[in-house]
Amino acid sequence: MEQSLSQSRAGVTRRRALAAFGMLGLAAALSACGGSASISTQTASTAAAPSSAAASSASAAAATAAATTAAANSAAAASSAAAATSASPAQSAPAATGQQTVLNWFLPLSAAPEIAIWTQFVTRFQQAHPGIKINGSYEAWGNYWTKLTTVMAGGAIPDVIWLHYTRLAEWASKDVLVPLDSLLSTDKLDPKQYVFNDAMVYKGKMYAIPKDNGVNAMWFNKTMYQKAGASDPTFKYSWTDWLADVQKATLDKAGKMASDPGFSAGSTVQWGTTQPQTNSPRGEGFWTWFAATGGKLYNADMTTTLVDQPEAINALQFMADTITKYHVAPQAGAISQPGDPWLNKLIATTWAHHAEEFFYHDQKSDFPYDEVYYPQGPGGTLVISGGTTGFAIPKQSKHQDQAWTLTTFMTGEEQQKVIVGQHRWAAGLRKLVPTQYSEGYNTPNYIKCHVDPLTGNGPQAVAAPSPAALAQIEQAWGTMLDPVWLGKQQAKDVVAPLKQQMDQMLQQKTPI
Amino acid sequence: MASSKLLRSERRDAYLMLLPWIVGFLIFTAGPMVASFVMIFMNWSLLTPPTWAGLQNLQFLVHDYYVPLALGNTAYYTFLEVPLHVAIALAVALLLNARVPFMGIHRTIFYLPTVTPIVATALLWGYVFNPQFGLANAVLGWFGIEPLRWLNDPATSKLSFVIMGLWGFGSGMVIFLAGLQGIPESLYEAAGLDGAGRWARFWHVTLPMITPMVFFNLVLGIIGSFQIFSSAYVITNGQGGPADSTLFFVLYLFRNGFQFFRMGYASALAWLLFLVIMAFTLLQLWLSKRWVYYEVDRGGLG
Repeated sequence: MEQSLSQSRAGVTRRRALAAFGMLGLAAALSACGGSASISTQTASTAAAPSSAAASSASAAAATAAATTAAANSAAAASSAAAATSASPAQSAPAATGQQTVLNWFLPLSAAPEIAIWTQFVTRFQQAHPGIKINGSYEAWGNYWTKLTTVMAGGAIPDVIWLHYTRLAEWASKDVLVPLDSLLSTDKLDPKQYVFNDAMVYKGKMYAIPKDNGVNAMWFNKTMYQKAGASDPTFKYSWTDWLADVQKATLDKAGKMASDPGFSAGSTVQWGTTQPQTNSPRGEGFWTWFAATGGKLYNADMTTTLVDQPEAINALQFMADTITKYHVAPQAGAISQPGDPWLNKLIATTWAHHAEEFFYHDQKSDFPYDEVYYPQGPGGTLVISGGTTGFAIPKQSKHQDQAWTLTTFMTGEEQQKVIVGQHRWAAGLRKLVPTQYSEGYNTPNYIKCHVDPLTGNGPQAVAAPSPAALAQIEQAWGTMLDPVWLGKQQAKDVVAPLKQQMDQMLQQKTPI
Repeated sequence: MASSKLLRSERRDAYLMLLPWIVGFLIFTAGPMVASFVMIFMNWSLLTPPTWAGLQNLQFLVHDYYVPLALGNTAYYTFLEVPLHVAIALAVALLLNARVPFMGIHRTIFYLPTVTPIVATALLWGYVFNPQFGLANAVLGWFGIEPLRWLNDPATSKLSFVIMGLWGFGSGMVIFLAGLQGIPESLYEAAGLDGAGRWARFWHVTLPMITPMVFFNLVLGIIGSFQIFSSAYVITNGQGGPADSTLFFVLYLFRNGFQFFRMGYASALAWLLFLVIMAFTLLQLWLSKRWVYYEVDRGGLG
């Protein structure tokens, strides 16, 4: 006892050293808590208090013992940690640094060439606007939505975000985006100068500025068509013509066509088409095919679904039959080779926008190909569809004016010309759409498929309808229709409960 | 006087040393739990401040079509995977309890899958279960069995996840190994003297002595399996397909919180899961009195 008391007075004991290390760790943990934006100031100040108290008690603990090097170092370390905690700035929130405004820009970019182009634009913008610094956050495509939602929930509100047109209603309906109409008007910018500007409108207000476009077409492998004894599709192609041709282009291991008796679907080595995009009603990938085969998904104001109507049932069943009855499209998992099966010469026809050609050249593919409109549906229905993505400004941005300057810069002509020049992305400005075509790079039919539908020449492209409840609709869609795509049920048997769920979701109230 | 001063000093030091953990627990565990409980009664889209919703989320939970479906999928996975997991871990631990050269290397190899990142594991098994070129169908082919569509067929998709889960038996194996090595040799000698063969020694000596480890692995296994998420998210791209056959509960909870912008409802789902897991854990604790043997309780042979 006496020995332990004298030890406690003599110097730093193991207990005191452990206590000091414990407080150092506590200070470090609390300073790590001070990282997020809108709560960071509060966190930093509340963290400073216990850290200061910890530092004080560490100093007091050291003062009661004889001064030793170890104790002095521990107290100094605790004090430094407390000082660092109390001084830790908000890392993600926009902050005014002297005269300069820092804007946070959040968008998905994962390919190195894309990042290089957009960072080049950032450099140009900052040179043109010395008072604004851009803090760009380039996210992987697969993580973008989850990360954006989490970042915004955490209070680190970006000033400019990227939005896909199918997500516009989801976000605009939550009243988190700045309506841009007055800003467009002030700057004398005509919304119609942008492609698919209607797709960026929710309840009469425009919420995002388009930065690109994608109009879908049917791409076909000329060699496969020739070997199947089929003529090249024309712009008057019908679904009946298409089905007949792709059945001939679908071959099993023994070389039998899908239309031949004894064709073995289980040993298909070449398919007539890619699997229709059936896993979701989101976007033009699904909608063009569905609408082109005569289906209607929603009524005019998207308050109810028309999926139970005969046209929709026939369209859904036709999509399913391409897999389960005609065997011209593969089941999920049937294709073993990774990558685009059309580019890998496993598929005779595919459905994609202009970027399919970019990937063709990028992959140095070598087969002859061409493109036409989607086949025409019952009664000669022609559907040309596409979409856009663009930039929007969250309402909670503290620098909306500067954010608008950034948005108009990035969607402006100079930057758009650079984007169009690399062929991967198309123009967001309507007047630049004709410059997308490059002779020798694009097919001659490129103009008819991807330019004319946006420039007033011939049939015009429309964006796929995208209601605010689309994410929830996707859930119900998968539940009800997966058995149809698997051939276990018919479309007519599932549309009634699907309609019931979809109508409930479409009729949910939104803040605006 | 001196002793109470010392006691106070020791108590103060103890609390100071515990303080980091306590603060971390309050900030990172208890605090979020309380916030999550409050969130049950709110509508929160993540993008706007929460608003009061009363019992709306709970009322929806009662009628939600996907809750029993997701719970059913998760229960199927749990009650098939966990017993198999424990059995395989025990079997391998028995094998690795032998005194042979390089046993350390063997144990390391069997433990490696446990430390492999879940995303990498999920991608790997995605290839194993590929209907065209996957190893799983190749093995079936050796026995003349028709290839299965595994992850692409609702009938076999959950089974695929069960098989995937069994790969990480290393953590249970290590627990069993420690338990096996703690069994006194004298018990086996005594059993041998009584004429017990290998199976009798296992059944009457080994198994009763390691029931605490079996219990531990079962409890932790059920708690962990009910929370299956990462592999399902990676392999099904967050969809839980085909036909919702792999829509596990936490995946559905994630979709509600981060894709449907219903964090209040997701909180309600989280607490439902907590109650379900708690109920099964309490049931196991109650049942354990009938079959778990603790040497200490019986004033054991020690």
